[in-house]
Parts: sequence; structure tokens; C-alpha cells
Amino acid sequence: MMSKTTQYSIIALGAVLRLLLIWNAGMWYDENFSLMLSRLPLLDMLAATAGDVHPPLYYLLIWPLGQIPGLPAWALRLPSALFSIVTLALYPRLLAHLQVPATVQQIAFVLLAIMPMQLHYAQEARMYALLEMLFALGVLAVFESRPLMLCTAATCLLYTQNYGLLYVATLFILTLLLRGPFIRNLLGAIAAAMIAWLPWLPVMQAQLAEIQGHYWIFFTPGWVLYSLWKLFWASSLNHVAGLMSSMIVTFAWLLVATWYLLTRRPAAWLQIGLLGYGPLILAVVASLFVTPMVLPRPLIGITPFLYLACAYPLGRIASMRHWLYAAAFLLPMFVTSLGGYYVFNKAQKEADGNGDVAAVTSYIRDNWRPGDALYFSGDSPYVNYSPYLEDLPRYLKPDCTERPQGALSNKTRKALHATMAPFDVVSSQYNRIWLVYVEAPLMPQCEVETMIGIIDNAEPVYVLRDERLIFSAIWLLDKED
Amino acid sequence: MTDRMGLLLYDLQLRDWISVSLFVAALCVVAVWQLLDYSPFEPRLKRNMLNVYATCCLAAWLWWLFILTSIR
Repeated sequence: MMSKTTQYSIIALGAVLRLLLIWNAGMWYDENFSLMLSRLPLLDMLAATAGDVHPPLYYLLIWPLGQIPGLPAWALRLPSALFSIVTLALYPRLLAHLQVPATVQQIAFVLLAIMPMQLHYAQEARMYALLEMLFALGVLAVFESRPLMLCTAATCLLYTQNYGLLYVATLFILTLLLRGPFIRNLLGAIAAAMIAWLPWLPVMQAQLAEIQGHYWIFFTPGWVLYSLWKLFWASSLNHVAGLMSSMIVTFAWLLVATWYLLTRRPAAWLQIGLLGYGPLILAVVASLFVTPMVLPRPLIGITPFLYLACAYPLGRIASMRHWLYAAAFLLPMFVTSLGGYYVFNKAQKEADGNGDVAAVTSYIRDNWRPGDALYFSGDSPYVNYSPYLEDLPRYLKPDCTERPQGALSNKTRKALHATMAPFDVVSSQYNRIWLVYVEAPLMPQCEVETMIGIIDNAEPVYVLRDERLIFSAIWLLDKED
Repeated sequence: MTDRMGLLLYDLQLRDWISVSLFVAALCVVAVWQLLDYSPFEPRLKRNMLNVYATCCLAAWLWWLFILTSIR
């Protein structure tokens, strides 16, 4: 068992890393979507998420924050940091239940405190840190035979993300595996959670029908492996030099860890294997037989147990020479990934948010005249810029064909109060129109052609991104010119 | 399909190949490592291999630090 001082020191380190520069990066598309939803009236917010792909719990939790006028957008990340710190604080109890030796406990605990995947989602205004905390709480409830806590955690998991189903299935298997004296109560708690989730089931079915053929997830063996790698490093080592070398070390580390679990069978090895790999295996099976669904971020719940598996072989190292070898392999990744996280996070998020929002919005406001309007080429610029230009007239171009991949549903657009109008209609009402155009890979050819037809007579005023995969810029159409 | 979609698919395929190849490479390294236990050259061979690989890793570390400090 770790000493209290060690535990508090590691939790303090993790808390500092999770809060450090949390305000620094601009919000990216998904975070701006959370921001928009949190600012809606409650019923519209529920309708917007029902028309999208997620259950409503996370949005309900951040909704009060969105209602505070003048609150900076990054403040929406604070609940995630809190959830992540709570997960960290729960971890020693989980490790104790899994009968982990003291050295391995310390290594796993430090890994959970510093891994970039953890920092990334602790500083993201999305539901993943909450998902991880709820799964950890559910596992703890099974170990400690606490049906009420299990029922609450499982219900919240189901209402947080669709992956909640995979996590609840894993909790069910864990309960069966442990065969504790309160097994009936625990299974009853899981059944009660499933019943509590039933009202959402028709909504989820409608969501699945809505996204059929429009969702953007690809499923290949390489994607599954890449997702596993991401569960460690998130986007912190994405530069190609870091990606290639860290991939081989990470895969070798995971293989050694899995081999160790299977052959040396430390205490509770089956539970650790189930919690570390169960939801991933279920997601792969569902992807093969139902719909592609493997994604790194909702798999964050397995990371505490995956890191624990990885800590076991390190915990066996006895000689200083072997520690030096391990350090030679792993230290470069930790140093560069932590550095890489804080160095690249801002650029990465702002690229995914279509540029430096603060600079762009102040440029638009400085040059704004009465009789101007904003016209967005699609959901991406609409979601990324709307929350910061709410007081200006804004229009969204309707889809030129059936719903493009990755686009919002019309139900969600309606709940967001997005005014969809063909360009001609908007053009007839305003003197000048700011055209915000993003050309991205998933955009159908007809969308590109329509927008090129519109911007043909306009003047380019601000280039947001000019990259191999994405081009985005703002044009100004002045009808008096 | 737009040109940019074609580029994205190319990138995704490339990343798939990189991931699968590096996983297979890692599998080979771990398998050879296990098999070396049955070799007459063990443990000197293992030690030499570790020295070479650790040196490469440290070199990669310096390279990463260079990248980290030079890229904006």
C-alpha cells in the first residue's frame, strides 16, 4: 500500500498538470458544440443532443455554466479537469482491490497522473473525463459490493455516452467473475440501471437511424492499433518522428505487459485483463457486426487498467542497469509527450477550430457595418464561430445534396436555432455578406462547386487555414462594389 | 469524391500501414527477445542488443527535443 504522502503528492502533481494552461488553447469544433448546447434553453439543449449522437448527461452537467453570462469559453473545461482529478483520487482504492504490489501501484499511479491522454481529456469540454470517472466508480462499487453506487454509476454511464453500454456490460461480467456474497444485489443494480436507461433507448435508435451512412468512423486493423497508441499519447506525439518511434516502443510495451499478465498471472490478472481490454474487445466485435464504432476517446475508461497492466513488467525491474534501459526507452516518450502536449495543444485545437477565433472574430467586428450578415458554408465554421458572434445575423448554407458525412442533423440545427437559407435569399436582404468557407475532405463535390460559385464575386479577406487537407478562409461580398 | 477526400483516404491508408507494420515489428522484437532465452549467446547478446537499442532511443530523444524546440 502506498503511503498517504505519496498518494497526495501524485494527486497534487496530476491536478497541477490538469489545470496548467487549461485556458490557453482556443476551443475546437466538439468543444464549441458543447459551448453552443450549454447556452441553449434547457429543452432546446435536450432536443439538440437527441438529434445528434450522444446522450444528455454531460450537457446537463455543464448547462448551468453555459447560463452564466460573460463566462469565458474555456471555463467549460473545468468540470472535465475535476472529473479527471476525482478518477486519479479513486485510483489507489482500485489498485488496492486489485491486490497490486506497492511498486507497481506507484508506477501505475504516476502513469495515470501524467499520461497525455489523461491531460488532454481533463482539459477538454467534452464528456470523456466524466465517462472515465464513472467507469472507475462502477468498478469500485462492484469491488466494494455497493449496489446503490453501482446503479448510479451504471445509469450515469449509459446517459453519458453510447460507449456506456460497453462499460456496463464489462461491469456485468466483472460482477459475475468476482462472485461476491452480494452478487444478486449487484446484478439487480445493473438491471435497475438498464431499466432507468430504457426511456433513452428509442432516442438512441432514432440517432442510429439518423447517422446510418453519414458517420465518419472508419474501421480497419490499423485504426484499432492506432487507437490503442492514442490511449497513451493522445495527439502529443503526432509529429511523424514521435509517431513512428513511439509506436514501436508502445506496442512492444503493451505486448510485454499482456504477455506478463497471461503467463505470470499476478493476483487479479483476469480482472485487470477484463477491465483493460474488455470494452475495446466489445467495441471491435460491435464494429465487425453492427457499425464501425472504435474510437480512442470513449475508450478512455480502460486506460487506468491498461496503464496498470503496463506498470507490472516495470515493477519487476530490480537492478539499476535495467532501470536505465527502461528509462532509455520510455523517458524520451514521456518528456517529449508532456512537452509536446503543452507545446502543440494550442495549435492543434485551434487548427481543429478553424483558426484563431479571437483574432478572426475581432477582425470581423472591427470591419463590421450595419447591413452586413455572416454566411457559413457548413456546420464546421458555423459551430466554430457562432458562439462568439451570437449578436450578428448569421445564416447557414443548406446541404446541396443528402446529408454529408459528419454533418449535423437538421433536428440539431433547428434546436441550435441555426437559420438555414440559400445564398440568393440572404444576398437579397443585406448589403455585404461575410462568407466563411471551409473546404474539408468530407465535403461533397456539389458543396465545393456551390461555394466556389458564391465566392467567385467576393473578395478574400482572411485566410484561416491553407493546408493539404483543409482550406478555409473568409470572403467579403460587397454588392456596392 | 473530392481531391481532398482522396488525400484523406491516402493518409488514412498510410497510417493504417504504419500502425500495422510497427505492431508487427514490435511483435517480432518481443518474440525474438523471448526466443533468445533458448540461444547459447544469451545473455551477452541480449545485453549488446539492449545497448544498441537504448542508444538509438536516446538518439531519438535528442532528435525529438530538437524538433520540439524548433517547430512552431
